[in-house]
Amino acid sequence: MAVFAPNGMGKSSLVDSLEYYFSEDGTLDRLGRRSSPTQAGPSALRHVDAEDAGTSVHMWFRQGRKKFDDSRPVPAPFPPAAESVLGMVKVPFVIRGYELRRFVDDTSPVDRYRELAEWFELEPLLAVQENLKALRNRVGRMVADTTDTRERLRDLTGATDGAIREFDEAAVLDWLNDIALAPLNGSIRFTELSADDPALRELEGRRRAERERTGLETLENLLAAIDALLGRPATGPEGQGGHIDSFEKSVSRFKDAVANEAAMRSATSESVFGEVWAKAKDLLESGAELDECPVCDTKFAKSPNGSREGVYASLSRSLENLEEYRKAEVAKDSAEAKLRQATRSLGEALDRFSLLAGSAYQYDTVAAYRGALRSCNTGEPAPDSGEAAGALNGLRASISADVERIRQQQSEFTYDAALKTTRRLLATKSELERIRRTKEELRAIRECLGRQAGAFGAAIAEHTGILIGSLQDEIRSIYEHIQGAHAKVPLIRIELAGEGSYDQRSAQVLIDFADSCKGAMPGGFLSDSQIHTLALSIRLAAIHRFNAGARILALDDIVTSYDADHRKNIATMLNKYFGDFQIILATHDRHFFDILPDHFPKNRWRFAKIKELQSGVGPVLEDHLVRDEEVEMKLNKRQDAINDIRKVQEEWLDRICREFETPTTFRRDSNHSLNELATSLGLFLKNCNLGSPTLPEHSRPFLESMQRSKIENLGSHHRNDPYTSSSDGDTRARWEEFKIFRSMFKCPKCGHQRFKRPPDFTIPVCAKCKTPFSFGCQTQ
Amino acid sequence: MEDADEAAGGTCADTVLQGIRAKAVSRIESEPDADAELLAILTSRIVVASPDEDAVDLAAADIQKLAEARALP
Repeated sequence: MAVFAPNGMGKSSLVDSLEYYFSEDGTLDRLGRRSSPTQAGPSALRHVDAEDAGTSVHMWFRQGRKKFDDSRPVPAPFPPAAESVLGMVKVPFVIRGYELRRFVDDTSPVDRYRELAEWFELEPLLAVQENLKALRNRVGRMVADTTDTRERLRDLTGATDGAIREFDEAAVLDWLNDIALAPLNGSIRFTELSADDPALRELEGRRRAERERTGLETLENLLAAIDALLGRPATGPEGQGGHIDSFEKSVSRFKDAVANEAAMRSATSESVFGEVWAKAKDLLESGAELDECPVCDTKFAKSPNGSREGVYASLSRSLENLEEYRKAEVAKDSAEAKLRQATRSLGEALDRFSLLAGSAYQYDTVAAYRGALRSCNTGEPAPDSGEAAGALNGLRASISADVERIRQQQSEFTYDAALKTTRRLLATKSELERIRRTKEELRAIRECLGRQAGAFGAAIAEHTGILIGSLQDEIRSIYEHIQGAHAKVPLIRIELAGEGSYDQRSAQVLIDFADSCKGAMPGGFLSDSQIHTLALSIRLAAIHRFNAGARILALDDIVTSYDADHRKNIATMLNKYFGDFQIILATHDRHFFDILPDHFPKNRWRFAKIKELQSGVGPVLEDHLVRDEEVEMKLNKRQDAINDIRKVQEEWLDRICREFETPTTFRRDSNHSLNELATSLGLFLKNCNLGSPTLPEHSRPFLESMQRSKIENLGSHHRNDPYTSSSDGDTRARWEEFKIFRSMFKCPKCGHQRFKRPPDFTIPVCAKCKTPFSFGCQTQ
Repeated sequence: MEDADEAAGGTCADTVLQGIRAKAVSRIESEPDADAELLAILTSRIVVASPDEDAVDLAAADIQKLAEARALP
C-alpha cells in the first residue's frame, strides 16, 4: 500500500500504528521509552484520547496455512501475535526517512557492532566477547591488587615495633639480630631469614631451657589441660565448651533420643506390615478399580475406615509413622555414637591432667570424678561434675596468677619473645613470597588469557566477517540500483575494528572513495543524498536478508533529497528486491507517489491519498467509505450524524449507479451529489421499467425523497435557512428508511447485493448468479 | 532466499558457537606453550552457549586458585 499526503495530514500515523503494534514497550521509537523532558514515552500515546476513543490496532497474519490475528488497544500489553511475528524479525522493518542516517554517521562503532550482532543473531558471541574482555580486566585488577601485600607489611611493621614498613630482607635481618636478639646473647645471629638457619634451632633450644628453668613450660601445659576440660572462658561469647560440657550435653541428647525412639516404637508396633502398607497405598494411588481393602480383603464399606478414601488416609498415616520411627532410630544411633566419642575424649583429657598434675597437685575431687566416669555405662546419668569443675577452676586461677607473676619477673627480652618475633618475621616473609609468586603466575596467565581470548575473538571475527561480507554485496547492489547505472559507486565496507585483538566489538562503515582514498568515513566524502542512499541500502539489504520469515516493510518518507531519476530507481528497486514483501509506503512527495503505479503491479498494490485529518478519527483516505457502524455509533451517542448518512447514501448510490451503469451528466471521477446520483438511478429504473420502490406506509418512491434531500440538506452549510437543523428523531428515521430502501436492491433469487450490466444487456444482473434484477416489492 | 535462510539459520547460537569454539581451541592447542588449564576454564565458564550470570566471577575465582596452586613452592 502506498499512501500520499502533504505534511501534517497524519500519513506517518499509519506507520506509527504498525510500529506501536510491534513495540514491546508499547511506544514509538521517536517517543522514547520513558517520560522525561525530551521523551514522552508511552504516555504520549494517550494524549490523543486514544484510550477514551477505544483506539486499537488489529492485524491479521498468515504463516503458510496458519492464520492468526490479534488486537492491541492503546494502551495494552504486547500482543501474542506480534510476539510470534517478531520472533522471525532480526532487523527493525519500520524505516523512517529522518532516522536513516543514524547507522552510517551517528552511531558509535560499538553500538553499530551491537546492532549488527542483533541482525546476525550474534548476541551469544557478543556475550562471549564481553565476558572475555571483562575476565581479562578482572585478572588485570587481580594482578594490580595490593591488599594482601599491604596486610603482610602491616604485620611486618607490627613485628618490628614500627621500625620497618617495606620488606627489605637485609634490613629485617639487621633489625632481628641487632634489636631483638642482641640484648639476650650476642652469640645468636641469623645469616639469612630462613627456617633453615642454624640460629633458629639454637633459639628454640634456649627458649625451651628458659621455660623449664622458670617453670612456665609445666604451668602453661597444665593450664592447657584445664582449659581442655572446662573450656576457654574468653574465646567466644559464651566461652568454648570443654570436654566435661560436651560429655554432659551428649548424655542429655542420648537420653532424649532414646525416649523419642521408644515413644515411636510403641506407636508403630505393626511395623512389620510396612512393606504391605506401601504396596497397598501404591495400588490405591494407581486408581485401580477395587471394592475391598488390599490389606485385609474387607469390603471398603465394612472396613473400620468405612471407605476407600478412609483406608487410603489410614495407610498414609501408618506409613508416615513408620518413617518417623525410622528417623528416630537413626537419631538414637547417632546420639549414642557421639556420646561414646565424648566419653572417650573426656577420659583422655582427665588422664592428661592427672599426668601433668602428678604429685604436685593432688585433687581428690577430680580423681573421684574420673573414677565415676569410668564406671558410668552408656545410658546412665552423667556423674556430677560440680565439685571437680570447681576445683579445676580454682587451680586455673592459681596457676594463671603464677604464670603472670613469672612473666612480670622476666625482663623485656626473653628467648620466648625473640622466638615469637622471629617466627612472625619468617611467616611474613613466606607470605610475601607466596603473594609475589601468585602475582607472577597471574601475570603469566593474563598474558596467556590475552592470546587465548584473541584466538576466540579472531574466530568470532572471522565468522562475523563472512556474514558481513555477504551483506556488503547486497548493500552495494541496492546502492547501485538507487544511484543509477551511470553513478560512480564506491566500494562499501563494514569493517570490524581492532583486528588481531581479542576484543573486536566495534564496526565501521567505510568507503573506498578513490584509489588514493580508501577506507574513508562516508560523512566526509559522500553527498547528503548519497549518504541517505547508503543508509537506506544497508537497512534494506539487512531486512531483505534476515527478515525472510516475516516479509513486512514500512517506509515512512524515505524519499528526500532525490531527483526524478532517483525516485524512479527507488520504485524499481523496491519492485525488484521486495516484490514478495508486504509494504506500507507513506510519502509526502507527490511526484514519487504518481510514478509508483507505473512500477508496481496494480493487482497487488493499493494507492491511496489522505483527503483529510479528522479530529477524533485521524487520517481519512480519499476512498474511505463511511461504515454503517460509524453512523450507528453517532446516533447512539446522540451526535449529529446527518452528514455521515448523506455520505453513506452517496457512496451506496455511486456504487449501484456504477454497477447498473446508469447514464450520467457528470464526470464519474469527481464527487457528485446525492441529488444527481438519485436522479440518475431513478431515470434508469424508469427507462428499464423496473419501477421505483416505495417504503411501507409511504405513498411516493423513496428515490424521489432522496432527490429532494430535505433532511440531508439540514446538515449542509448550503441550506436555505441556516437557522434550521435536523432533530435526532428525523435523523434516525431517515437512516432507518434508507436502510430499508437499500435492502430492496438484492437479487430476487439468491439475495446477493452486487450487480453488473454486461454489454448489450438492458437490465442489470446479479453478479453472483446472473439472475436479472427486479424489485420483490411494491414499486411505482 | 535460500542464501538468506542459510545465513539466518546458520547463526543458530549453539551450532555457531561450537564451530567457533572448535576452531579457536584447535589454534590454541597447536601452540607449543598452550595453557591447557586456562583453556579448560575458558571453555567451561565463558565460551559456552549459556554462560552463568556470574561466569566472569567464577572464571576469575578459578584463575586465582590456579595461580595460587602454581605458586606453591
